[in-house]
Amino acid sequence: MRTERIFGACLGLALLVGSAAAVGLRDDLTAEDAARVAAVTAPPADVSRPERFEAMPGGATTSPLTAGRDAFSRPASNLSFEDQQNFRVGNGIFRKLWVSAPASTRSSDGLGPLYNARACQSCHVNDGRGRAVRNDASDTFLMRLSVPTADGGDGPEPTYGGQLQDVAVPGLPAEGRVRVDWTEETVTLADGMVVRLRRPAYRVEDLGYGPMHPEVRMSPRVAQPMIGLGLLEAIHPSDILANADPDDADGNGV
Amino acid sequence: MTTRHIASLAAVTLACAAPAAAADAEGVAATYADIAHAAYADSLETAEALDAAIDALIASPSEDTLAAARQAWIAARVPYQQTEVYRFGNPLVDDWEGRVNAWPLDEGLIDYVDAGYGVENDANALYTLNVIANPVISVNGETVDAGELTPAFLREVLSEAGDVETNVATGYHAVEFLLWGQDLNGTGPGAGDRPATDFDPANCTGGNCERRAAYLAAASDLLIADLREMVDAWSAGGAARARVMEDGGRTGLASLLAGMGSLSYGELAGERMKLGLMLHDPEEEHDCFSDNTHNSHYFDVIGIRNVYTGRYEGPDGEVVEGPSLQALLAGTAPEVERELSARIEATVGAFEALKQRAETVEAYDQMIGEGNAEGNRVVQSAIDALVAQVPAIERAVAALDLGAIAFEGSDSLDNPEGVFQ
Repeated sequence: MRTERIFGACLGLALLVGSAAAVGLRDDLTAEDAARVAAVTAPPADVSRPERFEAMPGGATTSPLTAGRDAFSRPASNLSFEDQQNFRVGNGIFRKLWVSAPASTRSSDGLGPLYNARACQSCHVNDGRGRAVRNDASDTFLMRLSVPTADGGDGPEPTYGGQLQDVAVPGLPAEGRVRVDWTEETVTLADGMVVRLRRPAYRVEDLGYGPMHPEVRMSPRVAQPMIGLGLLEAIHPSDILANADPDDADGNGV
Repeated sequence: MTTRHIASLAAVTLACAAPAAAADAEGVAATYADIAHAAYADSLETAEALDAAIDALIASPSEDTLAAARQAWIAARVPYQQTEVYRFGNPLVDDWEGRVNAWPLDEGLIDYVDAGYGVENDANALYTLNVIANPVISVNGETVDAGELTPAFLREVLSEAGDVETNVATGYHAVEFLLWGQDLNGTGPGAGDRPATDFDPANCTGGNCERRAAYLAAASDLLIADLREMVDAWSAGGAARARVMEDGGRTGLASLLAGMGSLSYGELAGERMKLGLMLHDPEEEHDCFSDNTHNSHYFDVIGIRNVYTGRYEGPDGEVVEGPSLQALLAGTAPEVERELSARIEATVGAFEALKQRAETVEAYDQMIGEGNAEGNRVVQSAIDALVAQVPAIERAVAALDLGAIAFEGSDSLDNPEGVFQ
């Protein structure tokens, strides 16, 4: 559900481009500024050369640094010094490896007893996306669990909860291990081209706390990239509301 | 060689800045570049001395040669930390910095670690890789030949292996770990305590002494090559120098102030100090193997003062100075100059107290320990002083009308690099 909401917000931004009417609803902009926004976000009239602002797609937030493998780890370029500190402290927390009690420090311990990873950064690799599950390597991936409820909805698996935790502190069994079997399939595309794709089949082995509910459902999740969350937060609510279309009047399916 | 070169650059600056003490943007930017060049050149020179001490340790491992190498490492940190103020505001430096000063690092990637370090198979599959003990390793499911621990192998294969940021294979902190070993004393007294025999194939402790020596030598060679690159970037005709001289030196002025503010508030007061104090965690210590953190922090702060006062003193007493931001502000916004100067001096004072406590009472990792009220207070005062100088830095940015340069870049009409505000 959450994913869909975020997608909706992205779409809101996309639809805003070129929409002077939407800008008119912004209560935080003067008429003059609203007109500037409308002009700047209008579609290009001439695509033969770069537009103004084109090299800085994130506006003043754009990083001047080389886009290497740390590209997702950088703060917006125009943060105030105070916000830079918030960013840096948050970054430190994000990559902090937590430990199980007892440890030399009370503030860094408290890991477990069951968990998926010791640090946020462990799954959100370099603040980017995780990887799909593999049997021969550690994972940046988790398995959601649910069972159908009497009212037709879904709820957590009675023993294992809403998420399988595949690591435990020393002395305790983990909840289990996710395994994947790949089956290669041949698929013919519309233009006749034949490609081979792999279909995953997931199972959980070494269950540590007894069998699962017979109707358990599993939903594999790869860790999401962290970039752009600040940009989403910066979208003005009225820009989102301006695109509200609860009855799908424009028939675009959203 | 290096010293003479610096002197001549400084002379050129002074000649350009005539008459006498008049500080303008161009003169200030030139001093800023000259100090960068001098501090990186001193970093290179002290890294070469470290390299020689490491060669001596490997040729003849003893507690004496190990102690000399550790001393050389501590000496090498003095000029290098004074360059950290250049990292923010200069993209070229920021892009490069991770190779030489990345931190924190998962030391189990490199060498043996204590059992308390854990062997949990978390997302960093290389957490306890121990490349020194394993001539064949597995990275992302692929078998990799680690038979030769060359500079190229460290740089291209091992650094951030598996795309994990804490897989730091090169730079000052990798060398530090090899010279000291893990600090297993928590927030108690004592630094890492690796024996010299870890590098002695004839009386080898810790296993794989030849490979450990080869790793250390390769990391040291890389450090020198990387520092040389930065010395060149700040030499006459170098890219970093050319950039700060753009727009009549105003680009350099903006970088100077951005560097002071970002290092003060976010990096040093925030990620390196506030976080460790919040968690009371000895692992949140910048130079955690050597217990040299107080010096690292102190010389960061001296670096901030250097670029402000336009004066840098090298380890050999050589001075580089020229038209300064301080003088420029004194001419254009004297009340801002008075406030910023006072704040910077207060910060230096707070870090002197921290350094003195580290040298006479207890190490930095003890100061941030839980329940150590006095130690915590000394660290908190240093953080507060750093934070308090930032509004004054912002006032200087405003007084010199640099906001547009710092945050927007050039604003010519058809400029695709322009930014809509």
